[in-house]
Amino acid sequence: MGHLLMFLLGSSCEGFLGTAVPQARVDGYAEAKDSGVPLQPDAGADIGSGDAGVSPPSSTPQSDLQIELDFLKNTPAPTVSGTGCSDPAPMLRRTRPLTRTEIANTLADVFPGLNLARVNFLTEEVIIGGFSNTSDAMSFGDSNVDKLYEIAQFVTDFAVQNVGRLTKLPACNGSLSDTCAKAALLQWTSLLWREIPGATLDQRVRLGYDDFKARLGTSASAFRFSLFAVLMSPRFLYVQEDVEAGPGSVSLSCKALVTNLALILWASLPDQMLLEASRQPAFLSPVGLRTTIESMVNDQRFYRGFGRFVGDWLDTRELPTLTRNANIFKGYNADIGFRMVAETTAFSVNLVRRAQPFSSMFQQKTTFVDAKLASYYGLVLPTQAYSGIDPSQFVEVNYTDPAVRGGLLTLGAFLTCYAHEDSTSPIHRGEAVRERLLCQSIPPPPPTLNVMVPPPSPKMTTRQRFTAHTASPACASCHAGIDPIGFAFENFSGAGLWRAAENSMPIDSSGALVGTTSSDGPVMGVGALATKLSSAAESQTCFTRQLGSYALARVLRAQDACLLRSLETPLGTSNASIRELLIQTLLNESFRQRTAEP
Amino acid sequence: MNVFDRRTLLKHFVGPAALLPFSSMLANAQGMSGPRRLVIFYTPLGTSPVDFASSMQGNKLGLGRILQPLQGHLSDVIPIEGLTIFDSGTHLAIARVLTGERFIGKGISAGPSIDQVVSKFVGQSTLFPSLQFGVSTPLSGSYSNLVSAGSGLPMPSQNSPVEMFKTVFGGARFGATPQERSATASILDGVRGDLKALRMSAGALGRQKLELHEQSIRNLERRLATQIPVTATCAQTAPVLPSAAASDFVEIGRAQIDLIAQALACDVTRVATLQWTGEGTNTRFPWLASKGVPDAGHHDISHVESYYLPGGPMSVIQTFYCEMFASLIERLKSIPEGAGSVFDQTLVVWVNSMGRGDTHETRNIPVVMAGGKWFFKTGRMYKAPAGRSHNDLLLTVGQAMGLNISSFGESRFCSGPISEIIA
Repeated sequence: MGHLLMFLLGSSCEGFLGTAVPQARVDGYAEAKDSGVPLQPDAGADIGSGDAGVSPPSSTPQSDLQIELDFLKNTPAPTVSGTGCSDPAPMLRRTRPLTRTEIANTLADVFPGLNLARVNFLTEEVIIGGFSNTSDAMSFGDSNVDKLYEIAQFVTDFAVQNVGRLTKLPACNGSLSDTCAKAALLQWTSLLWREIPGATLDQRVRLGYDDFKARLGTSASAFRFSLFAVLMSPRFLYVQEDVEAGPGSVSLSCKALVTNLALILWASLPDQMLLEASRQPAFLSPVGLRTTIESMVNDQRFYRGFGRFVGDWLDTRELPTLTRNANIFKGYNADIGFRMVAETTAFSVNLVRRAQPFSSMFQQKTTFVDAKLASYYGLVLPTQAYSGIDPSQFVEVNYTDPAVRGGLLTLGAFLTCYAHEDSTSPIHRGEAVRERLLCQSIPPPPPTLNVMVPPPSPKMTTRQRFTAHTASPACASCHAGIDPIGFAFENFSGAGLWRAAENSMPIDSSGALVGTTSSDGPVMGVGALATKLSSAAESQTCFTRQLGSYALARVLRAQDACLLRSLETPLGTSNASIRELLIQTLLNESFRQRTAEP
Repeated sequence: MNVFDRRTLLKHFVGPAALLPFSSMLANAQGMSGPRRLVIFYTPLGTSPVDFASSMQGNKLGLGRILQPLQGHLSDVIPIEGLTIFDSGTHLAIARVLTGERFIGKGISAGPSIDQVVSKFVGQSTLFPSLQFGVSTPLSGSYSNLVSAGSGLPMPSQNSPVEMFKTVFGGARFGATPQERSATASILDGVRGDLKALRMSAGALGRQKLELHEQSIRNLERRLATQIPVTATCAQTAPVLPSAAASDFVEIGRAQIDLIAQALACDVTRVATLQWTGEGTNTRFPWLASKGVPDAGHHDISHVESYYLPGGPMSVIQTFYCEMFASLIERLKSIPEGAGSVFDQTLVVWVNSMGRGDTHETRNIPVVMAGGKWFFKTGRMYKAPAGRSHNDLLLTVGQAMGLNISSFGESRFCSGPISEIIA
């Protein structure tokens, strides 16, 4: 193996002939150490929703294999002590793979025009603890590594063929030269590896390229193999949080900070401008950071970042893959589903950008649609209006009857996701409110119960059917906290359309909010339910947690109590905007501080 | 990098990697008749219990209506009734069928599935520690996570026999010249080095991911550098599908079964799963219309109580799947190995995540074992007492494959191996 290749690969010294001289790293990329104190996992007692049942630690292992088996299971979270605000423990610095979405977005940003639909792309992220960007969501097993190998070749072919257009480098007009190849590689490597162009990177790229050139002969081959190496490298595929050392806790380096900001707000890596901005002394000042965040929120790419948050939070991103009975839900199909997801994104992004208060999330009397979705809902749009699924192109419309629709709960995506194939589902809607909007965990039905919902009947309304279904005492105790919420939605079909009657019987949308300390009570219809939710302390706290979890890219722990309290206060008392909540979350110490390594 | 398949490149490739010995040859040299293998066959949405039920008439096994296609293999099978998958009761049970574990996310298991644990034991010397075959499995979603590499690591199934053939028998691109191939090899080598360096500084969760990534790169390197010799046992026949086959459920199923048999016979893997669709999916069965299956999706059909009557649509659908199961056995028996056939060294297990689909009941899970005669008393049935856990079955399968384990999945749901079926 050519010894110069190591510059491009940035490899450890393992495997090189005889020599193992550790090199000082300027980028915080740690050395391989064969002995050393292993870090504690960044785990703790989860806060709030989700899976409270941590399995007991395994008993005495019977064999090596049993030990291995236990290792393959989730390590039980250690008990956390000292959760008071006086002693907030910052999280440990982390190493996590970019997610599938982040890789796709980055490739699309760095190589405009690349059509990833033509390659067998990576496996969907595994959502654990609510968000696709939490550190467990992605991994590179055999299947993904095979795909990555194909993807890297596909991207390489595209990039080399389009180098002139993509880089706009004068050296790349005309036939491929070493000068062009090296300059292009420098530009792309800088973005893919989040490295500031400079002597170190420049040298690494040049030497790597020269080595490939010497081995392979042609500029084109050297170019391809160099870029392939850059794409396969963990420097591209992993976020490693470099820190700037200090006593006790440490802060993320500017590079790590700007990378995290871009991943949260854009679901992509930072661009050249952002990388350069992060090198300015003003970047770290509160004003400087705020300015950066604000400009990122106003960027087109914010649709992707915030759309991902909302899609994960409400679990609406799989909507187009859900089967809905076309005979019952006329006009609804996957195409409409895609548009409903885009609508939810556009709706949410605009709440943030316009600095609207938290309550507007439940009461906003406008939405964003394209021509097809407008016609599906029966809203009026100019005939030449945009038709497609890019949320940034969606047009704002007023609800023609503002008393009927308003806010998140009456968006088609929410209504359609929480439904059955052939009817609404008061249970799923009620559950979604409790779990996703109030962060409360609903236990699954005991295995002995018959949880089969009776099939739709022309003689009954959905409400009647479900009321009978959960009437038995064994069911009723739990469902008293679910069904009344769900029944308030009954004026909206399982595909998001208004209905006054079902099977020629009038809809009864009386229900109640359950699960809050001071906002519980009967409601008539989803509008009244939304009003109650908008002022419930629990829904504000929950949203703060959800946004906090997404922004920190992990399941929140008991130690995060301080962070949450400091963020909830303005939201609750002064009705601060969602935009301010987002900014405050990202400016918060927790977003930047890490525990020093032992 | 030009397109270049493994067969062609090996003609040029010079290096020790190309001389990788084949483990089956090793096994033969050691006087064994062949390596032990495991195939898991999964179908969704439960069965028609009344038609699944088998009986013993004296010493003779009397197969239920659904299991009639297994008549020719009577002495090779063990139908099992009565096991319970605990802590479930929804379609998410699919993620518990093979793991016996709690969830850490919606349909995300907190531990590995039995096939993956077995593959760590029997599969490490083969090109693929395990292979996941699928027929119309959903690409994503909580209701399709059958196989799991570990906590939070579901593994998808490959639905395309054509893609699978490429993966297994040489479609990976590696470079056109020895220089290019050696450059690729050094890149992957470097990537592994980088991953190792990163692992040393990462926290525990990160370390586990990085190790997995490193191992996968190593597997990729091994595959790129290996050619499987064509022999009488290992024919490497590409799947032939009708032109409109993309949607042809049965044809794809048969092609996957054939590829499983080939992969086992060539000893490129010893562990395979065949996942037919997933929970909550609406497969239609137009070819069963003449037998009374309505023009509706499998999930919808599974929710109609009357379809569970003897000979009803649920019974017909399960009989179809049983035919597929029987054809897998036949295919394995058709490939000679040692004094017998590939089947002699294989354990095939047909699992399901529900007892019946209308009630989402996870009691009385239908299971059929075939083969594994080095460990099991075949040719009889087993009816488990109420409350016997499906985890016990997973444990028993693990032990049959040589694992030294005494519990599998959540330990509170595992009481010990099913000694009644062990020889």
